Amino acid sequence: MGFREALDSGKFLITAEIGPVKGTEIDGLLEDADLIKGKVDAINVTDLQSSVMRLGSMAVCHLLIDRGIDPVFQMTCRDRNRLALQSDLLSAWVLGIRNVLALTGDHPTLGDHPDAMPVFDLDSVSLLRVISRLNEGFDMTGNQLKGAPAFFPGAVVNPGADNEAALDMQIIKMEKKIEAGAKFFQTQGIYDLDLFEKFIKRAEGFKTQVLGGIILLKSAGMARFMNKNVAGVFVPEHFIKEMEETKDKVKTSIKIAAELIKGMKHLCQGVHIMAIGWEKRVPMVLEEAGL
Amino acid sequence: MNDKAVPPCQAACPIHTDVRGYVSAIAKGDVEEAIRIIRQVNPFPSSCGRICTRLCEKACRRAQIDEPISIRELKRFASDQTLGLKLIEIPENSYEEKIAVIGSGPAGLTAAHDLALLGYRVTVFDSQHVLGGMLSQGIPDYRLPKDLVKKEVDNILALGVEAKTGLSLGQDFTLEELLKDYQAVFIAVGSQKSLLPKYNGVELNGVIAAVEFLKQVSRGHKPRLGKNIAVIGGGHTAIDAARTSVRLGASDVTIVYRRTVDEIPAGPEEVEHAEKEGIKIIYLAAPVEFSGNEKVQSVRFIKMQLGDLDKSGRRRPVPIENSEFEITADTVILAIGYMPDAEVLKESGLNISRSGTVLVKDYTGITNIHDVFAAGDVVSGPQSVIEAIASGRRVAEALHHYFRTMPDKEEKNFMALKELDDGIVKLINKSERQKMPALKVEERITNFDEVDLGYSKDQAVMEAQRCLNCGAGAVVADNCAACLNCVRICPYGIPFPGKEIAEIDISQCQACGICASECPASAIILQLEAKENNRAELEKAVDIAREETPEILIIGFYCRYGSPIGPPFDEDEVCWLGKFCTGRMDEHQFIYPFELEVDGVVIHMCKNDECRFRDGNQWSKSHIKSAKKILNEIGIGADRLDIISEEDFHNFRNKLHALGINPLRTGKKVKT
Amino acid sequence: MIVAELKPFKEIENMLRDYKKVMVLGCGTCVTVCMSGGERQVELLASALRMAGRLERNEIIAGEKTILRQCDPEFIDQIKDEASNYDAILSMACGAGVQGVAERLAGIHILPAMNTTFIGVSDGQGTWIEACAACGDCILDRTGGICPVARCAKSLINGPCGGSKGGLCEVSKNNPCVWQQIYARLGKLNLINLLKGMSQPKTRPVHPRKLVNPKNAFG
Ligand SMILES: Cc1cc2nc3c(=O)[nH]c(=O)nc-3n(C[C@H](O)[C@H](O)[C@H](O)COP(=O)(O)OP(=O)(O)OC[C@H]3O[C@@H](n4cnc5c(N)ncnc54)[C@H](O)[C@@H]3O)c2cc1C
Ligand code: SF4
Repeated sequence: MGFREALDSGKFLITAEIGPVKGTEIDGLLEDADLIKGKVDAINVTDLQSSVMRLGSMAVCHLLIDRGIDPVFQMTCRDRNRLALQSDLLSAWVLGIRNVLALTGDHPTLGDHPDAMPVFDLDSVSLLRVISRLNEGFDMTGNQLKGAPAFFPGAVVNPGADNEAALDMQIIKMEKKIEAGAKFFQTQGIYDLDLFEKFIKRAEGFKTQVLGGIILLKSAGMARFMNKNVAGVFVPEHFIKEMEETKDKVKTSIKIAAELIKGMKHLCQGVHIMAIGWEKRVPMVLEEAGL
Repeated sequence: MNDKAVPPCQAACPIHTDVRGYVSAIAKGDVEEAIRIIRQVNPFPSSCGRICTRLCEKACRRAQIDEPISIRELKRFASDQTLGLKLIEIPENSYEEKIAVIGSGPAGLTAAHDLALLGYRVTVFDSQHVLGGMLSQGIPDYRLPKDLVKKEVDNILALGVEAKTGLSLGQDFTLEELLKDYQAVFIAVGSQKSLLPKYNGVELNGVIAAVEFLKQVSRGHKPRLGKNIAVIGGGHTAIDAARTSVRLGASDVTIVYRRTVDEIPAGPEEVEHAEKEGIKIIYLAAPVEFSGNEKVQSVRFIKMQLGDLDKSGRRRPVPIENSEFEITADTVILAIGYMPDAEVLKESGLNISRSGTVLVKDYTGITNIHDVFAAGDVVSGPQSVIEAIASGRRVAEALHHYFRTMPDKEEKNFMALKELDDGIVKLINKSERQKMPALKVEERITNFDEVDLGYSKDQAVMEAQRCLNCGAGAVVADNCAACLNCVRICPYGIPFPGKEIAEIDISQCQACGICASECPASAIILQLEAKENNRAELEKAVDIAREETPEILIIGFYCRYGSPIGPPFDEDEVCWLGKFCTGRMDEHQFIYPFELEVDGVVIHMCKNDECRFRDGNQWSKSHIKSAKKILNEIGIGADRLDIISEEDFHNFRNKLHALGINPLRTGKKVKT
Repeated sequence: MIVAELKPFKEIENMLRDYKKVMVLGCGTCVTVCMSGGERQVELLASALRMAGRLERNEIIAGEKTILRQCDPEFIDQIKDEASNYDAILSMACGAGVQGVAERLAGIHILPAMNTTFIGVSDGQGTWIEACAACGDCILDRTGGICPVARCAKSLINGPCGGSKGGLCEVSKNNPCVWQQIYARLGKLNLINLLKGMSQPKTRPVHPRKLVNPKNAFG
């Protein structure tokens, strides 16, 4: 069962995420993928995450397909103009890629090539429209395609926006993304289920599928760092304390993640686990969560 | 906005002296410049510096904040400091016309002075043997020493003015006779005759007139007055008569004045002096009768109260019934007014008013007789020295125009800057007026020595620095780019965006100069301190300092307001330049000395709460920081420039010695 | 207004290495207003160049001049004669001004003293902010008069990226997230609904652009 079918089936969905390496050594990456294969419904492959130059998402997605995994091709607007974006989408399709997650992308200044030209010719909403248009058999300017793809497009949303205005704009933009063709949403890491529930209530009317984001906490320091620096992430003090006091960080981290997943079960359609280097531990999380 | 308006002091001065100009010269310690400015319009600076009625001070805007500037005392300071200075070249006789001046008071002598400078031949006639009018015979020595008046008179005679003394109009010569030899006659015989009231007993011995009494004393007489003296009146003459009586030995002197202390024309300082000298003043009383047997023995007074306003706008005193009282008096001095001697004038054929003054056409002094002019107290009735000088100036000019057949000049209208806005007044620091040092009472009441001693240099400079430099602030030139930086940074919030360029209300500008130093178009000109002058001043200072071939040459800038008496501290190597606040100095002023091969530049740091202009320190620090960056970049090194207090100087000097001389002198760049 | 800032001194010095007589030419309009290239800065730079030149044993004659606008040939003509006495002109105008002078005084090497940074507005004492990207396809009607093309680090036109934290931009953390500002402004105007409209990808201009005013440019 592929990702799209799994979503349609109504089962509680699980996706994970891997980030390509900087270079050509892909053994470790594939090892991780093999380890979680079968336990998740799809694996996202990030697109030059944090604007750091590395192996491309499309190639890795293709390798995953070869191993029988259904990948989610993450595509940002940072590096390609509308010509390249459309062309890469067609290329992805012929390589067997079916799911696309359309994102704005980080700014180059955050990465290792800060002087790179930030393209942002399209934004995530426009990109979603372009995908829908390609699915209909046309390019952006209305030229007919010889053979059309049938992508399953998704998008992201940040439910933890730290003020009313920001949250409001997230919701407005979410609605626009749906209008532009987004079929599912993955969210930023969630630690506060009450807040998440509020967000889900607001988005209920949109009748879309939401996969709640889970970021594995590796330490109290990481939690504090995210609280300070990562937009939309807020790790409550009691989790930080737990991480601080525990003797077995891995165990506690898995316990917290599992707790959150359990809590989300009746709120949304699935979870998206961002392990950030701890990919090997994803199966343990799932086991703990009873999935 | 009235950009042509002048400071209120200048507008109020009858001869429109550039008060601000000379006050600001003194603020810089430049007395020569100050006296030059004064002498341009006034041949009697020593006298006016002592006895002027100072209309300027009544108009001074500093009074909105605390007290007016002591303008008169500053004038006195400037003239006392420059007595030996030769300021005026003896003019060449360029015109044929001969002019006779009758009366050598301030009106007559000023006209003589001006006419001589214009190139006319002038002869002054006076019935007295001493020239100067009331200045030398009337106003007492303890207020105005005779030798000073003589010097000023002599300066005028030195211009080629001829004096014929001991000759009276009507007695020794007539107008007709004069007009045969002279092409014009200027009558300036003043007001010489005391008014006498018509009370019973006025004819008694011992009842005397003040003006005549004071003149007598001026001429060296010491009339016997007795113990108890009653002076009636409240003007200068009354106070002068009372204080003179004290000096002649009278032990019990009382001034009786019909109105209150608020109306007394003599002014509060004179009253204070008199009271200190033991003189009693009875307000709200007027005489009814003088009694005595041949010689006066007592005066009966009646108490008064103030009623309705009279013609002069003062409240009229009215007698209170049954309130009479008596004072014993050995001498009664009447000082209720004086007037021109109308007899002589009438006989000369002049048109005379009911009060005895000569009638003239207008400010030109033209009388009913062809070629005869008149001005001064003989036209106005008793006024003041400065008004007499002003009238003398006007007549001299009118005569010149008359002879040279130039059209009458429209009298220039001196419009005063408007008042300071309340909001601005609140932002200006208060600063106390300097007290005039004076002889102790016991040292002065036995003689006619001058009472006021004059400011010390420090006092004068500090007093002058209180001046707000009204109207000498920032002016926006046409090349203003309307960036509005000035609008944003003025500590007083004065500039505002105009239609095309930024505008600055000169009437409110405090002349701090911060906007000028920050204007990116260099379009703001500070009248008080032109850019070219800054450069020239610096170049001159560097040249002079270099002559002494110091090993290391340091230019120091200090705030004159912060260190009024001169450089904040003495160091051989530092050549100091004073600025009216260093906040107005732009970056270029800090780096330019290095282009002149100076080795170091220090700026003396003011304490924060001391800034006269609120934000000055902040701006000088910011400009220095930016100048240091430039010095670093060009390889001169930032350490050669610093803002320091006295304690830091040795460190700075050591650093500089370690750095060596300006690399521009050696060609070796500092590694940065 | 165009905002520009002075290049690093070393770079300017290097540019002028081979010239003996240089006219430092200020511009009296935009760069004067943003306080980087007007008469006062000309005086400072010329003085600095003279001193630096002497230290390099390479004395430089640095003349000082400022004209009202370097983007208009008629103003440039005002210095034509004087300019012929110099080996090079160091222009303190924006890039447009530099080119204006280079075009008009083609026989002299014109060098830029400034880096032209943006089209901006004043943001209080001594501060200017970028406000317009001259994109040629204005959308300010929909964004409450605040331009996301110029003021959003990613030039997003359909709402924020979701990276803003504490109302600040994720990319340049000293700046507010422009979408938060847009939201606040539209909120005040009761026009939040405008945010729901879909903004189409922008048309891109072809450089160089040219403006011809037909009623005025006949002949
Ligand atoms: C006691 C006293 C104190 C004063 N204090 C002050 C003061 O503090 N401040 C102030 O500003 N003003 C003061 N005044 C007023 C001031 O002195 C006069 O306003 C001023 O001197 C008038 O100048 P003038 O040239 O018109 O006349 P005067 O100074 O009076 O000069 C007139 C001259 O004409 C001569 N003269 C008169 N008649 C004849 C004639 N027939 N023939 C030839 N010569 C003649 C006189 O001898 C005299 O020299 C005071 C006046 C007095 C009397
Ligand atoms: S403050 Fe100075 S300029 Fe202003 S009125 Fe007084 S003396 Fe004149």
